[in-house]
Amino acid sequence: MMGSRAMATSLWVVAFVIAAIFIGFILMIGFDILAKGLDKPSEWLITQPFVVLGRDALFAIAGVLWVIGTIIFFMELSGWTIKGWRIVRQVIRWDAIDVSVTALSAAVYGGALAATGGIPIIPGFTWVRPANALAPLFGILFGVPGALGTSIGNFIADALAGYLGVGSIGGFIGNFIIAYVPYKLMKDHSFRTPRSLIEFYVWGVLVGSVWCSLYISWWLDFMEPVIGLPKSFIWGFFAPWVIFNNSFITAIVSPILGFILYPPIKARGLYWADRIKFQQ
Amino acid sequence: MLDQYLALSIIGVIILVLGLALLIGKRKGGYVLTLLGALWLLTMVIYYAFDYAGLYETKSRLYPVANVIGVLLIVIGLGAVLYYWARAGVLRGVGK
Repeated sequence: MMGSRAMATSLWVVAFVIAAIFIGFILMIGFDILAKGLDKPSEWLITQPFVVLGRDALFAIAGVLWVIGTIIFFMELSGWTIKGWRIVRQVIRWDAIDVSVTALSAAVYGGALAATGGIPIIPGFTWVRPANALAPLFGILFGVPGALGTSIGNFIADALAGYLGVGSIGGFIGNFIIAYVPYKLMKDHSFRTPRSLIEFYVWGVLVGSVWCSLYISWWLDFMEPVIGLPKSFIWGFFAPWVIFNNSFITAIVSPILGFILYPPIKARGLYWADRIKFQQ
Repeated sequence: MLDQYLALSIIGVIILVLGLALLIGKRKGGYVLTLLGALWLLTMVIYYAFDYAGLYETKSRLYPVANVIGVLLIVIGLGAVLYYWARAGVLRGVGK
């Protein structure tokens, strides 16, 4: 009895240490950006891996992630998913409740992005976007309907912020990925166990943010003749900035929101695992 | 070359028409595609309205308006869905 309690306590300690390392690392990257200046992205710590790899290698790596992300997006929406290394049929009802979940996620995510756009939530920092914390949560709690709502919300927010264009198609699926990765790859979505917390930081904060950033960046690079963004800007500023901006709020706020929201959503039968069925 | 905003509008129309066709044929996915198409086209309406009003020209003109619309979107969207959930019994756990 004492042994299992000590084991549980030590697992919690490990989980909190991992969370603290993630948050500390992201804060360090933030302080590094502030110290070197927003106008000197080539000197930022977070940009260095991009500088080392170079545009061609990044374009090749991001291209693979783009293809996988796009296949997953269309596969999930057409009723197929990967489960236990196999492609299986999934039954999402897409009834009035699922559609209302998508509408809710779109309205809250898009509205929150626009409502806080340009406002210095922390004095002097207009770029801090609290709404970013919602994207992985909508996937974790609502599954594919929530992830699709996140895509639509980001698309609406692009129009309200003046960024709408063909590039927004990349943002549409990129934001789906931010919500989808923790939904699909976390085994425990409750935010109530050490495992859940560690899984969130790995999949929701790290992998989701990097994949989303590379997905959108590849699309912006590929569509350069139409969009006109210089490749040096895409890989030297935009990509590292998106990783930092997404992971910054997500690492700090999302676990708290997830801990609060999981029980009421589960109790009302809105948690994705209670609504989706899989056919082998 | 085709204007990118016209291309996005055409994609929105295609999604909406497809969604309506599925809805009329009582096929699965009709609701969600119709919602997606409608919100996609709403986004294009916002873009063209903001562009026409010259709101994209300066951040100082854009942000108060975008912030207010963002708040309205949350209030109306959240309100409408919670109202529907309350009527459908989802808030009492009938969604299970």
